[in-house]
Amino acid sequence: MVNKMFDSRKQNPNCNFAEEVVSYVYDEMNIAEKADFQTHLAECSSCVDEIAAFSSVSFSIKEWRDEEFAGLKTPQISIPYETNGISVSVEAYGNNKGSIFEKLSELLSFSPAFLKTATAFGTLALAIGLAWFLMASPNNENQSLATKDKKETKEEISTPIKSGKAEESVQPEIVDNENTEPEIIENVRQPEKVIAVATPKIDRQRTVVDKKVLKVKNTSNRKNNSTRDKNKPELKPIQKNKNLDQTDQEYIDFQEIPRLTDFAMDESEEKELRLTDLFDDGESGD
Amino acid sequence: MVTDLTDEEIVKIAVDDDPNAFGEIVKRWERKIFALCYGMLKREDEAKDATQDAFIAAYKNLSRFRGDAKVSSWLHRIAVNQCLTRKRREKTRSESFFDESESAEEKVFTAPTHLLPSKLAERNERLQAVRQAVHALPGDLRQVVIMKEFEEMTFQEISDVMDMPLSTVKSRLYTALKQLRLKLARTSLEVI
Repeated sequence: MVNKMFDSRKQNPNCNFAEEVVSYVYDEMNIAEKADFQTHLAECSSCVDEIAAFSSVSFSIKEWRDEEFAGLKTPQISIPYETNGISVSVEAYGNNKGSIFEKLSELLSFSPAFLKTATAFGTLALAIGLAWFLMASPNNENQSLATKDKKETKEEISTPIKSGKAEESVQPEIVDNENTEPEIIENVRQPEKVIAVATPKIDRQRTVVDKKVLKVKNTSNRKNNSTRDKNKPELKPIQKNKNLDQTDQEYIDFQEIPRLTDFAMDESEEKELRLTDLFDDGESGD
Repeated sequence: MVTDLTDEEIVKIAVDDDPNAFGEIVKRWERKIFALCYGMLKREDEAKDATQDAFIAAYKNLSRFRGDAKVSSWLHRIAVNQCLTRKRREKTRSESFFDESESAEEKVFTAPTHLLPSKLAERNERLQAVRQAVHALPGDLRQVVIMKEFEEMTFQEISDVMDMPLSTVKSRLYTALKQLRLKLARTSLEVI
């Protein structure tokens, strides 16, 4: 049969459609060329036989390819990319998973404009919220409160002398017998002990209360201010200890604030204070 | 993205900016180059080595790519040269390069379960015959058949790779198919 095909070709040498046959078998003809060749096929049996034979051969080769080659895994190509002059063998670029940042940037590059804008706003809102949260944290509140109390304490101490409202400023409303104020008072003149007491976990509010009670106790001791003053040991300058934390240092700094007992008093004022002292004594139950 | 660029644009990026961009070229063509090398060399391990060597050679000669031809053509040309080099080495070791007895080593094909035993045997014989017939073709004809059947390249692409006129490519394929037709007819296993 094959020899007949050859003979037919020899018998019809004008049938020079070899290129068209292979183009037709592999469907690489445009519409016009295909139409012309199909017209020829209607009149040329040899070309028809060749097309049939070549199509079967092509089918067999594809079957063999699918059977033998299709199951083989593609080899992993390793390219010796140079990094800073040093040859580094890495996987193919396409196989790299890429960093998260690269994937994110690729994702954003494909995202529509509105999504990019929304992402930007969301990031900005998150940053603002985080900053607000940090600003509104309890530590910040306590620090600001301690600072505020410190200022208030200074003002209240100075006010009674000028305006004569000492009794108001030393109202024992917040006297708390449960407090260890005596110890604190004594420890005031001994900064080192204060350090031991004023731990970082001291409640700020309690500290404020203690400070106010200190004022009360100080005024109650004004009965013997004269003798007290004489017997009053000199306050040693409190040296700031570098090992102290801010809490302790603030407490110690507070102790440097002059007290009512440190100021010289007139007899009239002394009388007023005595009344106050009596009032205090009555309230405190001494 | 790199995946949206043409092969020529990626090569330009690899030459000018980022050599790692060549990895995209590898990703696109590694399977086809492997198919070509396998069809040319017949052995999986040799085909893998030839594929690796072809891409490494292409990477090292990126700066020499002038852009007057397609990147795919350039890669195929490099791969064909790699295969021919390996064949020459093998030829020095074996007596005949085109010896049909070399291709007589039978390959065990996996049998599909839906065929009857008689059909399975016939199918295996047919596949074996085709394998031997293709390997028995002359090198230049086998190359065209492999590119056309394994890689499914167009005639124009084959013409670019082999640097020959389009008519010559078609003529060679015509000749190859005729020879295969004769060989398969000889074994009476032609599928019609």
